[in-house]
Amino acid sequence: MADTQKSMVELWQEFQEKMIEAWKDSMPREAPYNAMSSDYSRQMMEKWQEMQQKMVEYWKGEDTRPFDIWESMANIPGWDGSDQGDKMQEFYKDMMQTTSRNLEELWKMAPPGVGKETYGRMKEAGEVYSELMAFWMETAVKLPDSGDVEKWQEFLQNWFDNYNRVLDSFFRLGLPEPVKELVKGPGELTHLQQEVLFNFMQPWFQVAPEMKDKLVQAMRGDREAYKDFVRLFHKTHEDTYGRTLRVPAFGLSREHLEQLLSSIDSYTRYVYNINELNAVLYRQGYEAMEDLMNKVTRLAEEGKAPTTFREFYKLWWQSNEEAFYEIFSTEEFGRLLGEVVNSWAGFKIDYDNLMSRFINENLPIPTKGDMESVYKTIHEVRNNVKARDEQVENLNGQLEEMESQLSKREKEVKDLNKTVKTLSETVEKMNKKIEDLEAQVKANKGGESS
Amino acid sequence: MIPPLTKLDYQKTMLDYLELNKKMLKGINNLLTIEDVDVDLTDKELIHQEGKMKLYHYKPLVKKVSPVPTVVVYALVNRQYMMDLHQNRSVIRNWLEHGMDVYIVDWGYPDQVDKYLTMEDYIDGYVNDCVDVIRERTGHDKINMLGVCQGGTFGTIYAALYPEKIRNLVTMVAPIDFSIKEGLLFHWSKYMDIDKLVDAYGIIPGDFMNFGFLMLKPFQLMVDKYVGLMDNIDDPEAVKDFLRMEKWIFDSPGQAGEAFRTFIKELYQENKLIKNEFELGGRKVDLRNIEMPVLNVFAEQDHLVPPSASRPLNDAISSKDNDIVSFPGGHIGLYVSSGSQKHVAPAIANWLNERSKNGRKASSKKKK
Repeated sequence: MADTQKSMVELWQEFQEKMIEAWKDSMPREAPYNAMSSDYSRQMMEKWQEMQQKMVEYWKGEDTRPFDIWESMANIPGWDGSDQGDKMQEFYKDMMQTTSRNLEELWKMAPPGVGKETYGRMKEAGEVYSELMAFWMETAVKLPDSGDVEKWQEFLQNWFDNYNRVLDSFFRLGLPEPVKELVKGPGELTHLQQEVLFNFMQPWFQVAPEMKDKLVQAMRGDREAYKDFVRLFHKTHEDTYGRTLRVPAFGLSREHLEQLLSSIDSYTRYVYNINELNAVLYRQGYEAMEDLMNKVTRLAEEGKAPTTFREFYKLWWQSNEEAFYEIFSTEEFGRLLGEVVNSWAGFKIDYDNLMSRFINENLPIPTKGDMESVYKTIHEVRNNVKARDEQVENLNGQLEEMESQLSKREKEVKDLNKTVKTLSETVEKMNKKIEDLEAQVKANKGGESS
Repeated sequence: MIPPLTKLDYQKTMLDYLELNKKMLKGINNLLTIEDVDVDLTDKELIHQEGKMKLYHYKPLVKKVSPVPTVVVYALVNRQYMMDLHQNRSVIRNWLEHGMDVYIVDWGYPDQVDKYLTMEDYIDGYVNDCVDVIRERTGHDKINMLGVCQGGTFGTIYAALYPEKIRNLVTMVAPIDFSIKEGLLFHWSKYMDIDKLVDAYGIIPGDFMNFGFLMLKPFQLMVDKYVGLMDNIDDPEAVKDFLRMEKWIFDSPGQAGEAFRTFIKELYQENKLIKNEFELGGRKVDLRNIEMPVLNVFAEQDHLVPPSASRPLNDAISSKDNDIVSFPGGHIGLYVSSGSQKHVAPAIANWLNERSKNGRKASSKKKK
């Protein structure tokens, strides 16, 4: 980052920090513990929510100026509760417009790498955090009066809708991009968008009237009904189109048609499975939240209820972790997860085969199938080369051994030759001595006879 | 019915929030300027390479070095530099400072060309070749083997097949008994059609593996970890530490399909290893062949490889000198926590050094 940009960020930070300090000082010190009646607190909270929402929108790319909200916060009654706050407010107002715009540009200039990638993940986690905070504020701040039945009904409906947003943002976290896309599609099905589903489901409604009832119940927020609906959908599909899709085809394009139908069938199986899994996850999410609310009530009775969002958040993630661990450990979840992965793999195989066939028939480029044989050959060649290398190494070892043996033998032969030579010389000497002795004996005999 | 939350402290909430914002402001520079973080810094030398696998030798940091070298065999999942993430918290560095002579296997990043690599290729091939290279280089008949996680399973299989080449075996958080009920990975893998998955991908994507790991603790690993970062984001060193770990977590090589198929089917699903039924390259892997000294190390709160998956090793082998040591903490904490530096790494180094005195040199140049 250029020095000028860096100093700009530092300047911006400095202003922000001063502003925050001033804001803290300006907060009414005598505000009641539960400040529901305080305009200052209420407005501050609403602005806070608004700011979170704007940050989320900014992260999603829907808002290009998330920091404007800071400016409007300065106009909250009670903000100028102290001289220092008043001065800082003016100071802040003057500088905020320019620095906030610059900061927005700087965020975009963050270099790719671990910092930016981590920021991306923080952003996603921040969405969950913000959605939960918005949900919590909605629940905690806007509770209707106990006697207002109509508002309570409306509140409960909103509760479901709002918490759905929290769960949506959570379940899409951490997924690799290709998986994210696949989950996002069926995940959106869980919102049960009326128009799409009714059109899509029309043929089945005639076959299974129960499905229609379940769908309507599910659209009203009944998670069990949604799960039943998904199960009925699968069964009806299996009994109708599923069976048709698996009927052997005839004629010239038989094989192609079979592949096509098979891939459609396997995709449908995958969609069914991921929806069933989603239904279980969402159901667990809602149940965990209801359990948490009950726990908060119990804690409230003991005077230990969370009093800040951070405390509530901590309770939320820890209790959810426990609840999800429990369900993840069940046979049902293991089976469902297995079916999702298996049906996805089945669909991928079918889809890849279909694409390969199309490419093979129409384009002059190698396909996955062609490359498979290359990979296999490379693997075999690598292993063969390695085996040959080992053989050569062993042979070299044997050769070295033989050479060593040969050299030993040569030395032995040399020694033997030397011995033979010595022996020959000895024999020669002995023969000479024998000859001399014989000559002497002969001479002695001649002397005696004469 | 939703209970009313009657005790809401707005001021405290706001002050918490403002404090968080202050930290965020201070942390902006940290995230804006970081392109990459430094990991894997301990000085080492490449001494052998085969395909994508590399064998490194760490340069000693002390004069008195153990006479018997130790080869570290890491898992195929994630990268071996987790043991050398940061110089202040490097297990490798700690071992070098304790006088160990350390070699490490880096598996690299398999791609589709490597999809047919089998467990035999990895263990009978790569691991055995590395052991032979070190034996030849140092002139020792036997060397020490230290296997980490899946690398510990590999090391155990290797020691059972080639006991004549291993002087001491250390396993760290290694799964040996796969029939356990505690770990979610062990539970979920029972329902996976591995043949179909391998046939679909060839190389199982690292992202797929990672998603499985994150799902073990989704709220902690996907939300709270990042929310927690905001608390320390104004501390440049804390942010860098966080990013080092983040880099490692998401640096996930794919898995060679054939080896993955065997590992999941025959070990995770059929639990053949502990039953002495597993075969590699036509040879039965009999854990009773392991007679050398063994140190089995595991983490008490390990959610990836629970203690019950590691503990049974000691009862399955014949070694009279076998120890089992556990430390508080999780699977990764065993390597990167401050406790790791103070207790885990020294304990392993001392155990090995004690059993590596009087290193016996090989009589011939190389023995296979």
